[in-house]
Amino acid sequence: MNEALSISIFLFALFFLLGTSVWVGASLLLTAMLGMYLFTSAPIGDALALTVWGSQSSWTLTALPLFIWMGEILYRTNLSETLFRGIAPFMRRMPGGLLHVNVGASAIFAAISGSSAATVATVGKMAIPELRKRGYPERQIVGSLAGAGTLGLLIPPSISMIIYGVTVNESIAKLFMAAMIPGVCLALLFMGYIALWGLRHGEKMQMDPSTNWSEKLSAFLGLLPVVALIVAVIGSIYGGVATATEAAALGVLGSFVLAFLQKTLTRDTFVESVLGAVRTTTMVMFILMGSGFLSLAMGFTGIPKALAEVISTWDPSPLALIMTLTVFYILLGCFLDGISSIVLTMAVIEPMVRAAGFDMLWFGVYLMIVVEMAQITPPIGFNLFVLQGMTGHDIGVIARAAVPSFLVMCLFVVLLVIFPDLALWLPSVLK
Amino acid sequence: EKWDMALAYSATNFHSEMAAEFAKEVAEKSDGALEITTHPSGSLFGGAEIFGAVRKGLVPIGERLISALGNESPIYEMDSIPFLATSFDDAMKLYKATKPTLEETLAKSRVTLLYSCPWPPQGFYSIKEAKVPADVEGLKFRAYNPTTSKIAEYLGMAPTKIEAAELSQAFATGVAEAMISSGATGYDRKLWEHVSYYYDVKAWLPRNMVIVNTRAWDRLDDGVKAVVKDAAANAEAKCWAKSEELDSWYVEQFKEKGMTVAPASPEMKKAFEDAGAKLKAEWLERAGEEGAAALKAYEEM
Amino acid sequence: MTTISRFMDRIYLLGAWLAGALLVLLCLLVLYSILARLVGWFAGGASDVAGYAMATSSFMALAYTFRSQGHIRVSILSQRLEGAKRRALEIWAHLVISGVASFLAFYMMRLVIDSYDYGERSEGADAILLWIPQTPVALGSILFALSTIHVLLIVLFDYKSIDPEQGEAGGPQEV
Ligand code: NA
Ligand code: NA
Repeated sequence: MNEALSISIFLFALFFLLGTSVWVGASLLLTAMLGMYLFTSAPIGDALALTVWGSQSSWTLTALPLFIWMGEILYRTNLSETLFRGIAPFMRRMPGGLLHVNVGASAIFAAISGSSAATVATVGKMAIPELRKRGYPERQIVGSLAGAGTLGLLIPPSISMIIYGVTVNESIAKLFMAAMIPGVCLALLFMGYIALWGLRHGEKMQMDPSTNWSEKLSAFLGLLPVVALIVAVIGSIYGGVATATEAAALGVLGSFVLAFLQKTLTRDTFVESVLGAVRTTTMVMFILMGSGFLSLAMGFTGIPKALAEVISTWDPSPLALIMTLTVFYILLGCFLDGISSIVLTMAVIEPMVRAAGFDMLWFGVYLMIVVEMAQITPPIGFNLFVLQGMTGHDIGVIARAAVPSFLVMCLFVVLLVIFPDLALWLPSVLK
Repeated sequence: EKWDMALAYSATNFHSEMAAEFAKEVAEKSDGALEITTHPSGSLFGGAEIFGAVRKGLVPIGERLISALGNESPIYEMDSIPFLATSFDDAMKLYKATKPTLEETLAKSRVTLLYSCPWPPQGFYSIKEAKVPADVEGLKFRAYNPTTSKIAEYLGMAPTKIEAAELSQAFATGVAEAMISSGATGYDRKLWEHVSYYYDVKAWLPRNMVIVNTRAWDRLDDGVKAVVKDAAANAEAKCWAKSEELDSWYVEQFKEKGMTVAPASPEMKKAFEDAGAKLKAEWLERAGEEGAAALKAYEEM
Repeated sequence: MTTISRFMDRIYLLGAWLAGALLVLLCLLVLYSILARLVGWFAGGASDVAGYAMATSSFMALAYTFRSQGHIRVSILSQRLEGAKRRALEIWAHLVISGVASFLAFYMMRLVIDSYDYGERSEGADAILLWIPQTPVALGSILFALSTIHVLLIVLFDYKSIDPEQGEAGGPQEV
């Protein structure tokens, strides 16, 4: 069967199911089953069970529930309020105000966590109620969070980058270095957009009252525990105490210690934090089951590989290749999560990219950004799902709110193409 | 007929390249009667799922590291008994001597062996110079299974569990300080960035195997079966040669990248071999008569 | 009917509690691996067991999360429909998810049975027989299937009690 037809079938089935209010996880599972039934002779149900078991019991995934739990603890123990009270006085004059905290906190949290879903869930849990309290428009809260959450994969450590590094034999340490400056730049670009928005619409939100210097100082001192927590977790990774995956558990432990010291840890907050984490985790896991199985079905059909082969037959110029690949990965991102996109296509894409003369470190950074863009595009975008789970807004609303962030990322891809040294400078200096 | 082939390693890894050549040869020589599509990088099933997937017929054909199945039967650990077969010639002898036993064991899972190919031999990576066993005492040794953890214990190192995905990071941050692994792993993960010493001890030569689901195999015509067997034999011969060629190439690369590459000192060699002897005895206890017979067949060769 | 419904809700909640306990266990296991490394023990199968704890936790909470509307869906169309049309859409969506969940539950059970028959073992240092950690996961998937059928029956025969047009706002999805 030709690729165009099979793609149409996948597209139609997925959009129909999602459109008729079928739960996202179930829509993905059913689309994949249909694909398996039409295009392979493999036993569907047994393949489903083995895939689900393999992915759900995988050790690399254990960081996700733990980070989600950490966010729940911080949210339930006033730490988030302290954090915002500490930062608010310094943001009064900034156009866009506390929305910058969404970006800043995501960037910092991204340095602890390896996934963008965990970043959105943790920061969102703390930031959304505080920003709502202060009357910031939902659209901006949700839109900036969706975008900034993608920093989770760009700023090291990053699970996708490890997978990429292993797939193309690039040094993971160098990849991490290469992603550092782009990560910070992208964060600044998100902030730039928020500032621009703030200049035009600033009057809409309510600022925290003006404070004198001593009040500022005491609020600032309130930040110290949270800063200490973050430094401790990052320190444990780079100090050789824990691996990036294990650091999540230290984050949970540290949050409990802080909550205990601030006397906000009670039996009730503990139980609530656990049940809250379980609900969010399970919601994400159900969708992950679906996307994992869809990825298997797509692998069997060979569509991603076939599409990549089509691109290679065009033999485009380097610039045209990058443009085509950007569109290609955004399209794939409609169905697949970032890791599946990388694993299913790199065998064909890698030689093409090498032949076009791109540096594989640079390409790795570029690839992280484009697969991350797919996290905030409908119908399948994990950051959107996590935000839907947390705010109750429909995914359409969230996706529209995320459009500016998406455009900012497009702009950043252009900048990365014009100034490749954004990615390449740091690894070359630190050698 | 169309077969999907599940591979755990990336497309550029030599095992995957050989599998792709094997698939191509089958398609050509069978005039398209059997077309095999390879799926590298665990894009179909991840490494840990591949054996189960082939056994259950979810994919007809796949490749797996034999010793990863050691928990199922000690027979699968035969290629990984430390310091038993420490050269390509010995590894080939070991393969020939134990092949019938391996095939019998696989047959119990309704799986048929097509070919088997070794990784380059396992060397000892260390952040410190290791002249005498006291030098490595207390180092954090990356272990990934009970055997490697025991090696660490016998040499006075602290075994620490690091998953493959976090290997480079672990050495970069000092979570791990030493390990026994193939030159391929060290090269792929660019370990020279963090590790200075590579001792070419050739501890063992772990093998991958390409297996097919027996029901899928029986469905093939005899003509196609002959083509597949031929192609498998060719792939096996090429793959062994490639592995040997790569072995010396990796060592050259390590030198070029500034690692100190050396054979193990007599003291270290003795310590490793003592550990190996203990592990062999422990393995024999687990493996029973079947294992003892296979081992005897090798030692008499 | 309401008695059974309430009884089932208790069971889902019990599943969620179990899932919570497993999350705590997961955290402790990871902390144990860190500690083990610091002290120089071999944590061996800890990461495998952590994986099993996570899988069981997710599956055990599937039913509770579904019943408390924690799973997400796109409601662009459903919000525009009213009355009988809205109900028809709800029936369709619940039919699909109960079908999918039952399919999943059936094959998760088959996975356990096959692992048991074959005596399949984990490839990790834990070397555990895989049917042992797979059984609670399969039980969780059965509970999930039951919860979807449970809500389907409510939608079919007692639509009033969960009519989404009554009291749309609020609900457990709120932060
Ligand atoms: Na990160
Ligand atoms: Na998307």
